[in-house]
Amino acid sequence: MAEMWLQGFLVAFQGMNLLYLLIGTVFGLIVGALPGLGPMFAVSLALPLTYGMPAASAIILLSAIHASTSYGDSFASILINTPGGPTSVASCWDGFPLAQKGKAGFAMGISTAGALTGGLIGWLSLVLIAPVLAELSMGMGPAEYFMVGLLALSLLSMASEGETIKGMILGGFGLLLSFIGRDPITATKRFTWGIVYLEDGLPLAVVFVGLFALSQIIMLAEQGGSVAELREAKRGVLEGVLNVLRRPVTIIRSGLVGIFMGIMPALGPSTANVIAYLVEKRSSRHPETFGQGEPAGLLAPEVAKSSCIIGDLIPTFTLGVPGSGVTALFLAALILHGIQPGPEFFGKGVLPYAVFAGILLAQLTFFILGLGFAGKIAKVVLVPNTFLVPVVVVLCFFGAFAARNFLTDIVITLVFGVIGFALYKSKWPLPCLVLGFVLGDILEANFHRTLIIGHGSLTPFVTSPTSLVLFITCVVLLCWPYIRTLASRRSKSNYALARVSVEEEVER
Amino acid sequence: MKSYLWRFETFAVVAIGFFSGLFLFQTYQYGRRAALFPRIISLTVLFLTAVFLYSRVHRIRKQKAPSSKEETVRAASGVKPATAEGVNWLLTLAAATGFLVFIYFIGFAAATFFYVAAHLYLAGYHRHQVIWAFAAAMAIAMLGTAYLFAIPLPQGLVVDMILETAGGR
Repeated sequence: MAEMWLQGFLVAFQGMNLLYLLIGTVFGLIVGALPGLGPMFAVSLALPLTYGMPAASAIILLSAIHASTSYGDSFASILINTPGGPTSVASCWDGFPLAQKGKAGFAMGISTAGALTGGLIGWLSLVLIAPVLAELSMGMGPAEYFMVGLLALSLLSMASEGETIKGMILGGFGLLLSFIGRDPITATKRFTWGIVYLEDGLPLAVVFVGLFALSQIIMLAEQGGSVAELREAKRGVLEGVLNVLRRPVTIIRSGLVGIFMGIMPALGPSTANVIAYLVEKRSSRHPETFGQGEPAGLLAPEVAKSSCIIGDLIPTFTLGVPGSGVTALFLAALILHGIQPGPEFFGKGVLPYAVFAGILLAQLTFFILGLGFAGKIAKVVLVPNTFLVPVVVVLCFFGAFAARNFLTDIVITLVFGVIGFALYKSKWPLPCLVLGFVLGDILEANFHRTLIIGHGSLTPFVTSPTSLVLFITCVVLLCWPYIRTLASRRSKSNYALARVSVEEEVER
Repeated sequence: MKSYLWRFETFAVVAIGFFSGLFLFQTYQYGRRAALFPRIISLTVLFLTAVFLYSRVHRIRKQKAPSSKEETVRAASGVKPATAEGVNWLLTLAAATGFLVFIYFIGFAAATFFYVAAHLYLAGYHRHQVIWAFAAAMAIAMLGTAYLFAIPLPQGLVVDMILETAGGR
């Protein structure tokens, strides 16, 4: 076994493979930094280039692109509040406030180290417990998946930041938007109003570019000046890295959220980063600091995103079941090179070990490059908004168009830009819309599958122990803010009563 | 500002309510399975919007309307208008919409050139050489990126027509 690992690392360390790692990482960082263009675009673009390569080199190149695109996605989130893609929406919420405070370098340091630690957690779970995790995920049926979706949706109460009804309305609106297109079970065209474009549903990346990137840019244009003054960019990056090391609980918690989301089909990094942020906020002793430049609020989505990306590969390698669109491309790459994924994958000599070594090296490569350039990239915040705004608007439109080559995608970006701007301006909790939109498909498809299994009965939701536990957790999470308010009111009234009686005693 | 926000909120909630009502109406055209989940959600959203609007109306009835004197004091407190340094949001939006229309007619690269230049002028930047050089650099960068990633950027209706005419001859 140790010998296999050694040979695997020797293959990964071959000159050509190191070159592929470097090329893949640089390419991924560039694509990631462009708003709207994410790993799906980058990996699909690179896939045809791998035809002539050895299998290990192909997977190493694709892994490097995948990891660095996701990491690069966070640049724009932190520096100009425009997510590079759906996987880094939550990175804006505390990353940009840090940049506004002049701590862009610090935020970039947190992002870089967070992405590395998340990647390492994901890699360890891929290497050590992949078969067990994959078996666990395969043991879950649609009822359990529905409950997991519901559990994630129950975080609406936390995402709504005290505006519960507004949050629920936006969550519902997000769910309704996700229903546009074909029904996941019967493929009936719904809510398309005869428009062919809508038959495939609203594209996630395009909607998010509009909601988060374009809306923010309109705000920046209004503000004038520049995003922030930058203080000590280089030292800030190192401080950010050290700050990450002081938060082991956040790392482990978010890493676990990421892996959990990764191993389950259909739940990917776009869900993981939002859920990890909300879970971290819920667990924090100072949730009021979230959204105002809380380092844990940036670290959690970064760790979860990176661990989820590798967690996504677990069912792909061990079962041949891709967890997301990007891992489906990995599956295609494996099959193209004559490798059949599944339980036999681990018995294919040095190859799996070389692939795993390559995935680990991909994490280290973007970390080293990120550390080297984070300070310089952070200086984007110094660019006057007068110049920054047209550049980002052009990039948003370019990104929206590039993914599918539809001019209508740009129209959708503009429409959602206006919606996002209006909601931002009046301080509506936009994360709720994201939660609803991301989870709609999973909830509906698994709800119907469960009904089919139960022949129309709802009992499968409560007869499975896992599903029942998840359901009870949902109810507790939804009721928790009210229980806490009631408890604090009671303790306050007890305290007041006690105080009155003490004062009476003193008076006597 | 508060009354503006209130008006916006009411508008937004009514718009979402209308949207979900439309969804609810549409669900009656689909089969049971396809209609079930959207129907549940649209009914829930309609209920929530009703609750929200009721709570707002209830709150407004409770509150006393501010006197004209209070309004004057608030206006005189000198809240800096958002457009003091930057570009009004409506102008930014209009420029972006114009950019989209230009893409359709003259293609992405040419539209980028004109949009970037127009935005810089709107933002009050008047160093012409810098404006045109920056706009040209941006357009070239977009063409380069599109070439690198093999993205067929829209050429625009005008270019298409010219090419078609030239091809016809």
